[in-house]
Amino acid sequence: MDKELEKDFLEMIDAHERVIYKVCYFSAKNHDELDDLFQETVLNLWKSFPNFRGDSKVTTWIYRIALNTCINFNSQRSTHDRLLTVPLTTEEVGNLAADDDRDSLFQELHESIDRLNEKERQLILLWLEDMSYQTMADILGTTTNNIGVKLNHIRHKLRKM
Amino acid sequence: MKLEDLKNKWKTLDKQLPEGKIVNRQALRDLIRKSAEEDADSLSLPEPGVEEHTGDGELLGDGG
Repeated sequence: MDKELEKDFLEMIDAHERVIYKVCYFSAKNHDELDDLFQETVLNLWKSFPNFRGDSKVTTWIYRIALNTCINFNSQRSTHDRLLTVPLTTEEVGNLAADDDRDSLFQELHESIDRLNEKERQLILLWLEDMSYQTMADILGTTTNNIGVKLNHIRHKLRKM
Repeated sequence: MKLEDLKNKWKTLDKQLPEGKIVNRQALRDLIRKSAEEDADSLSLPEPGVEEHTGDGELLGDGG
């Protein structure tokens, strides 16, 4: 195994683990699924890492891989295998699952976003992260104009709930 | 629900994420190692005497 590549990857994960975790946190239905999704996302990042040439910002690349992993994960919900039998996260993160207040807020959030389709959920996550229209467009491979139109549509959709 | 209400909920959840490390470094190394092992297994040659097929009924030839 290429030790230099592994070292670079570990440094990249160190710098961006919070972003990766948040995408998974937003997409997972519960804490067990969150562990699976996080592991699969990090694995996909590792597999794609040798091909990342820095043509786009590293965060754009991370979001693209993570969002695609979440889509695939949701469409194959019962068929993914885990390489690790233990969580990839630290014990401190694992303790979050036992927090009832947090769990209740998590459920409330999901009651709203679960009514959106997959593409709408992706866009909303980026908006919740205070990204510019240009950054959202770069990640989702669309135009800023389209981002505005879609956000407006989501705004109306959520108001009806 | 307003989008802004959704953002407030998200920000509250975000603030409750641990400040420290999220990824267990040893588990991450194990994951990378197991992934490499899995890739190596999938690339390994078939046992001697086992016929290799292209999947469409033809045996692999030299293309001639």
